[in-house]
Amino acid sequence: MKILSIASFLILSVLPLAYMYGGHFNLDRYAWIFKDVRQQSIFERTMYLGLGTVLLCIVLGVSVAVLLEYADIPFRSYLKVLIIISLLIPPYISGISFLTFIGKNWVSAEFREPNPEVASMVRRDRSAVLNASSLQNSLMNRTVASVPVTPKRPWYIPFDIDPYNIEWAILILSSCLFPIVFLLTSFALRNIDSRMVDAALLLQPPLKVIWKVNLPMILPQILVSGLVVFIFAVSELGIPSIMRVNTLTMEVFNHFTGFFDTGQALALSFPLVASIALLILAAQLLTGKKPFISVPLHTKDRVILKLSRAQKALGLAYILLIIFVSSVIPLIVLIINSNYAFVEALEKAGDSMLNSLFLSFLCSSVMLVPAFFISYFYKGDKGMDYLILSPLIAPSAALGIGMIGIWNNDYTSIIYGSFLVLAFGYLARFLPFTIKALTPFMEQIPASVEESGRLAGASFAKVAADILVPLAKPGLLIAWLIGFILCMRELDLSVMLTPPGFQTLPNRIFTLYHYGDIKTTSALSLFLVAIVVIPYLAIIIVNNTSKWHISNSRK
Amino acid sequence: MNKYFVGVLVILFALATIYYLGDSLMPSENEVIVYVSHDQDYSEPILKDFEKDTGIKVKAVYDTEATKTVGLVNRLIAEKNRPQADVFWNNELSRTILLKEKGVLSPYKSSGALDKPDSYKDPDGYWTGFAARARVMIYNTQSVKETEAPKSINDLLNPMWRGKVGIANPALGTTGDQVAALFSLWGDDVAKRYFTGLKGNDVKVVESNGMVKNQVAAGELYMGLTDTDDANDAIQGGKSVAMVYPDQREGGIGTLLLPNSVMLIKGAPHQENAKKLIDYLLSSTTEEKLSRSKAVQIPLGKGVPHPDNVPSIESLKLMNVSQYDVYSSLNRSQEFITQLLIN
Repeated sequence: MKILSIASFLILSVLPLAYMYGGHFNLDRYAWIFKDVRQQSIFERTMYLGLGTVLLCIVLGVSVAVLLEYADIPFRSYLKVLIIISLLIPPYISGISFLTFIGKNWVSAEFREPNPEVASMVRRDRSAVLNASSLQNSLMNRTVASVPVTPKRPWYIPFDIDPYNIEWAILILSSCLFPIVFLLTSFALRNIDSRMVDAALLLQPPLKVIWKVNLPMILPQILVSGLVVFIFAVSELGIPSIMRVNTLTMEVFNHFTGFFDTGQALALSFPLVASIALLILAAQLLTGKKPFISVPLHTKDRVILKLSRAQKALGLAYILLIIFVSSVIPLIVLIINSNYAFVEALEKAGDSMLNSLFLSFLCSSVMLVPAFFISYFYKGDKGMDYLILSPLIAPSAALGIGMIGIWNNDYTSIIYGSFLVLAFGYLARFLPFTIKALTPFMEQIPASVEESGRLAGASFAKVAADILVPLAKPGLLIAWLIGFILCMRELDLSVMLTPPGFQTLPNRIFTLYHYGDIKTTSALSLFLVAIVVIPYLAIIIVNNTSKWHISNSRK
Repeated sequence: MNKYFVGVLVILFALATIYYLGDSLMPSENEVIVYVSHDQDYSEPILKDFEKDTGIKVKAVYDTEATKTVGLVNRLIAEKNRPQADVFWNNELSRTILLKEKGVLSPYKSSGALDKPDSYKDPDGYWTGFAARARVMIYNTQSVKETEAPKSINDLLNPMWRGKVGIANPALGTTGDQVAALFSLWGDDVAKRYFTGLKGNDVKVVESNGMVKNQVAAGELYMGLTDTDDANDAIQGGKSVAMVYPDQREGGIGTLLLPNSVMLIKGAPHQENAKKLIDYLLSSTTEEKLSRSKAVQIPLGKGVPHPDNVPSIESLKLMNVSQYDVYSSLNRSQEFITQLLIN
């Protein structure tokens, strides 16, 4: 089973990329990218974007996780649900919403009331406007306002904002991605052995205990979440595109699709590959010598930070502000922009919605099988981390072309000619995330549990089914949710691998968005948010009503 | 979790999987697979009409606007040794010629190609152009006086419009074609000077022609380069914009025409159905439908009925540049423009 699990990962995730990179290796190309000044500048900008987003996400995610797990903030259970909604909104949709909110209202131009005078002249001239021979006459005879009109700034924005820069890209990406840090930090905090916390509280005040004991203990999870955020941030195409910030990923995309230069595109991705590898190494060095892995006795809420009324109000205001900026503003803008055209949206994209729902449920569920075994068998194996994260480094387009090369043959036609090739693409792309999300929970299952079961005569399959899976249930649920969200939002692979007659919802949304159909795009985005919120709520309910016990701590 | 609940879920998934796999498990001969780069909202109705008229099932793969054309072109090249598609309906010509050069296409001289101008079809029958758009300028009528409205693409260099002119990603799609056409027409030096001048005038690069349209309609940009279908979408929507076919005056270089193109894929699994689809797309009926749609596409066929608001190609001054010259300029123009405007 150990070998089978890693073999499936290698075939699904690593082989397509090995096929691509191996087939297009050229030393000259790699040398060029390090010498070219423009590429250096783009690389620096990309690192700034990635690391800036990580820093802000960690500040937001950890602070909110500490408040919601340890402080007696009112309405905590509701806030925990609301805080992750921004993760469910596609980043480019969040970007558009923010631009609309600050007054860059080209998005809402579609249904802003047109100038009546102009509209009536357009209607009168419509038959002539597009006729080139009468166009000039038509224009000269038209009497329109001659004073240039600039878009009005909303009353709540006191000064003009220029959002088309990297700092705004970092802010928007952070508002979308900080829930990743929050989720992993939150679960890690809940899983700290309460005996250690109790012992520390005897000697130190709660804040010091959190700062000097709890947070250092969960540093691996925080760093892993930061790494995930970094990968998402530097891989993102939508936000940099909207904010007009050219990143390495966009450069790779342009070379891949505009120049049809696969080798150059792959070479351009190398600095990202190297950066991510270095970050993994740094994370390993910082956390590798941790002697203890905490095993929880139970996972009930543990309030250790009693706040005064003023402090509670401040804490609540802080969290509500984050929720308002990251989730409420985009949702309000989406609702307004949708013009309540939900029925029309369903008519245009109802089949795409079903396709994405089915594919995401299937992939996120199937993904758990290899993820479970890999994270169990290889927990603590630092070398495996590099292999597990390696598929994330390459652009989706490269993975897509690699998959076509691997799966488009006579023996696998049933895969390539059907939705299965897209499902395999999702597995390849997102299995690493699922494994990483599950690993901290698997590391807390002591080896003695399995050994006891085997000593009692049970097979590994029985031990896994009856003992390991129930123990790992919180991790399995969160890993499933992460896989589901990622699959529902995936766009780039779909273009390369979608079989004929099958279209995914993000593909449809993105296409409609670029046509300028913001109304339908907004309505469909609201559906997308709703589709992902429901499983999340279900998991929260399941997690809070289940109990489990782990017998021993393990060094 | 309740075992029965899990069991029901597994059965439901199995049934859904069989449903989705159905076509692959039992492939039909009476179908045609088409990759489409033309906007889905305009192309899908045409394909549905073909299904209705012929009884041949159409399975389509649509590109996204942001990766327009190039995503599917990459896929066709990758699938070359074992093609999945029968027909490719492209929305321009340069990447069509690329596919021919890469050996992805098979010649087919459709009867529908007979009435198309020679300059918009391959002499050996590898591809045929139909239902064209044109590159145009769009400007906001509330922000730009009619006397100051641009008439030529050179007017976009006017310092009055500094920071207020928009273009789509010049490495992709029809904007990329226009850049290549100017390189071919003017020569590299003059073209580079022009685009350097645009950069000096702080031109804004946005993701797509649709975004150019939206931002001009909202007044965030005053003018921009886009395609006729995008401009028409805003005009028919009552937005405060107007459209100009650039450089129509005496001595002007004319505008770039961008026909759709259709082609047979080499080794197509359903050759006969593919030829029927190509014939259908090149028919005057299809060209008329596309001219009457919001896409307002210009028919290339002789005598094709079209509404008054769609010009005939004879009434337009067109850029005097061959599609093969545009294609041969594509790589070097894209390299220059990417270095210049996307940094």
